[in-house]
Amino acid sequence: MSSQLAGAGTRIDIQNVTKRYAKSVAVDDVSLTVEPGEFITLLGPSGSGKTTTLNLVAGFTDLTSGSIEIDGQRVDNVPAHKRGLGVVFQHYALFPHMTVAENIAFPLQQRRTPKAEQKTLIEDALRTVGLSGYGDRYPRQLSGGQQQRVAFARAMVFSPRALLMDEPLGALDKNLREKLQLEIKRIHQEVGRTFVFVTHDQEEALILSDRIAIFNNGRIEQVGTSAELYERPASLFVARFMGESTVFRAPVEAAGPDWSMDFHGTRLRGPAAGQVPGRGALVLRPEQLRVAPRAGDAPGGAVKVPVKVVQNIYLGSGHKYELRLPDGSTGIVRTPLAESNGLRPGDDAVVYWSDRDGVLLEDSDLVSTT
Amino acid sequence: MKHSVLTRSLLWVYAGLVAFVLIAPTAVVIPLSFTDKASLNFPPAGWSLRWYENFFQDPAWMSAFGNSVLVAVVVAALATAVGTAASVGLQKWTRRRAAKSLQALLLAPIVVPAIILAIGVYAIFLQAQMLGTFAGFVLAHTVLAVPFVVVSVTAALAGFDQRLATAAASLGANRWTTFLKVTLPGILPGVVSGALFAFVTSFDEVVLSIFIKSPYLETLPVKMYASVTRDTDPTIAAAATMIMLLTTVIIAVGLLSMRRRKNV
Ligand SMILES: Nc1ncnc2c1ncn2[C@@H]1O[C@H](COP(=O)(O)OP(=O)(O)OP(=O)(O)O)[C@@H](O)[C@H]1O
Ligand SMILES: [Mg+2]
Repeated sequence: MSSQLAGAGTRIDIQNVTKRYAKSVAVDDVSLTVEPGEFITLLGPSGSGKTTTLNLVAGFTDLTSGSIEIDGQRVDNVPAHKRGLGVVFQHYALFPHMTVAENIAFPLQQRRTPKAEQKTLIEDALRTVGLSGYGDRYPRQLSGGQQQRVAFARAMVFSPRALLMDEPLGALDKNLREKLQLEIKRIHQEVGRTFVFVTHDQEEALILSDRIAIFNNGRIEQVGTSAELYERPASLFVARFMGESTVFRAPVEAAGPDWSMDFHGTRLRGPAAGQVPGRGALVLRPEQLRVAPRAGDAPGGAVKVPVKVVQNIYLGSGHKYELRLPDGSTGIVRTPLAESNGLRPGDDAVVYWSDRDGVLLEDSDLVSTT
Repeated sequence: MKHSVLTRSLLWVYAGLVAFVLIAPTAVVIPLSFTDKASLNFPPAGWSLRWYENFFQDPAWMSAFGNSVLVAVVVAALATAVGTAASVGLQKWTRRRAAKSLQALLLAPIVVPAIILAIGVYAIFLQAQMLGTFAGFVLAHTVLAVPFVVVSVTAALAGFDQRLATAAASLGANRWTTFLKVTLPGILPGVVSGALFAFVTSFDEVVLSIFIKSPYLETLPVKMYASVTRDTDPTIAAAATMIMLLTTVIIAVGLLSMRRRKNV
């Protein structure tokens, strides 16, 4: 976007915020600091409190307890129209009785921007979202993707302190989603403002975000860069939500740095972990695992677990194996093409990995799902 | 669905019959207004425009007509403002039970027999010395007209996407601006039809008006009622025909303008 729209970002401080409804707690003691200029994504399954958190920041919902600060100023009692935040909704929310240009002019009129300046700003905004020349159309004369671009232009044109987006691409098809994801990323880099983005699509979160906050049951499980979340998940929920994983679950013996677990007759070890009382869950990513027909094919120091092959999928760049672990759960392994081994569904095999890999977490799943 | 020719023609005949029963009593008035005799005999023997002439030349008829229009216009404005505000307020009220009860109370004048309302209003106006006053007519008619506005605006609000109002707030619009620039344009058809209903409700109100009229201030329907009971003067038929025309035109224009808005 043009230089007028560029500017320093805003810090958003969410401190111990709780939102209680009559029968449920939508947001439960959430704390999160969004750094100036950062692109942060709130990621989590349906009903985990992402929208509610965003609405609390935007001022559409009153909080039950806690505080929200924007650039150090408390805003919990400031009405939405005075918070100066731009919001993009999943359902576009364009005013149907106004043209595209009138829609984009709306926030400028509220701020009494001079007419001539409005005109330039609107043109700039339309150019940024690739819709120059569409100013005279009505929203219903645009496709879904075009409408969302207009909504984006409208939310950005008044140089908001931060831009909040609630699944803005949720209603679009896959190709368009991917295209707009890249555009959103480009615009974020150009304007350097704080963006808070909500999605339940982890791939989208990976593409866009500087940092991701993982929501579950109204709480934040972990905040971090995608690499941190993938490589050092703080909970089994995060490990499962961020990418594929194979989980070996068993009671932990000798808790502490030198932990070990007895997994159906196999002694599992791994990198030092924090205190894991009771049941443990050792998480391994598909690329950390290998699979071989016989235990003898695996290198000496490796940890080995006998499995049954459920599927061997050829992916062009390599193979993806789906395995049945001794406890009945599913394991996922990805290997490069060079390591093809001819395993077929129904074959007995061995999955193995280096004991320098893996993350030991507390087993939070009371009911086994996989 | 396919219907046999017989079923279809039977349906047409039945529909025609219903339409006839509904319209005929009203339509009888039209030929009556063009009679050349000073009686309300149907069908008229000869034709003339003398009763229209009489209507426009008689100051009593003209002033009654003027009063009716004036009262109806003010009632339409007042009832639309009050009724729209009430509908918006009721919709936003988070205590739904209380809101529903209050709405039922607002709609009561539609169900309560007019004569009961009339006696109550008469008693109060007598004490307040408002009988036969312009303000009295406006107030009494507004009570009757507000429910119609509430019904049609509430329906329009139910079809209005409240998320647009949220979006307006996020763009910096306060509540009043949001209502004027976003909500009102969205519910305009409902507001307009509410206003038209309010106008018509006031314009042909008889029962209450008979109770609160005075020799100095009466509305057209009151004057017509007096005329038909005192003297059988066909001027009343001319007046009735014009009222019918006026209300039909108003409603038709309202409906048409709404349809046009929808198809932009
Ligand atoms: N107005 C409300 N009244 C009562 N409960 C609510 C209300 N709004 C949200 N909730 C509840 O709060 C919880 C969190 O809802 P929220 O909309 O924040 O989820 P979300 O993470 O945005 O989900 P999704 O991905 O489906 O949009 C849900 O259990 C929901 O049922
Ligand atoms: Mg949501």
